[in-house]
Amino acid sequence: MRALTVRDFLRCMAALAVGGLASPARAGHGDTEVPPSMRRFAGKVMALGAPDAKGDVYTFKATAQEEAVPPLIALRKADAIAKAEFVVAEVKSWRVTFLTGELLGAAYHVADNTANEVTVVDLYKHGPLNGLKVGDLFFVEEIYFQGRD
Amino acid sequence: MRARLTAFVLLAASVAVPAHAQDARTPIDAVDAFHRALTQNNTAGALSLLARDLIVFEFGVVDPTLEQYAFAHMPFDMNIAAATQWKIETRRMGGGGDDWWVVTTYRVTGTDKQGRPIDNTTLETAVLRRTSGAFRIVHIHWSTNDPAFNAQVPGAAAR
Repeated sequence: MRALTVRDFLRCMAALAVGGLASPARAGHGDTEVPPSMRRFAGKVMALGAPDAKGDVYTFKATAQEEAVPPLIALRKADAIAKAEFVVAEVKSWRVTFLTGELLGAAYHVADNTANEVTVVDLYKHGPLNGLKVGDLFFVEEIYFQGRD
Repeated sequence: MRARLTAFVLLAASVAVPAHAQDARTPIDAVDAFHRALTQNNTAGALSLLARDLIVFEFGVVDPTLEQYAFAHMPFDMNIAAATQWKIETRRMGGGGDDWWVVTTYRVTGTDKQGRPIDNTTLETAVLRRTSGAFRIVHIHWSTNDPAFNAQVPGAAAR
């Protein structure tokens, strides 16, 4: 089984006209094959979670695909890879950074995740997810909170 | 833009730079902080140094928006940054007011996924704008003088 890469995922998403992004035709640095610098998922927001008592949102549903899945992990989570889902708690304590929309550049600590839902904590002090929109794109990266960066 | 040559310097790559755009009080600070954010896998930090109307030219490919670059290209640049060393060979800075440019050549060395050496000179033109006291990159253009590398780039043969 060949693990999907972010590049594959991006092409699939571009084919589906995700977020209005133009189809990427990658070259340059990306054509030099080097190992991923860390585990990283690319994803798309599919729905917003319910607001809390204050009206703030800290949960969203998503579809996501890992950039380059290590072989042993790929064997363990083949079903999740096929469905573009997470394994439960797979990205817990990782960092999610939004790449489009109102929250572009905002980072959050992942408190927990299910197959298709991510709950965050605002350790990076960017506020709640209230500006998030369906279709916004993000990375979830294996980077742990070490104080606001 | 008032293209005034103001500096020509040779620098070591280990210049201490701030991690955030709000700390990038000079154009060179912003460029070096951007590279450092890539090396450190600091996605949010790198994005904070890029203007909302960013356009990137990279080895014959265009990322016409910040979103396109961030989603489709920046992770690969982070992977490359982590796997290579970028040593500044030459740098010139010019401009004035809120609009500046920084032109840098880097000696890039490292090892690719197959264990083959990476060793080339990468050319970088960065255009920066100061807003609210901080410089952000509005345009960046990378290319290389390595003919073997250029021969691998899709579209290069058509140019």
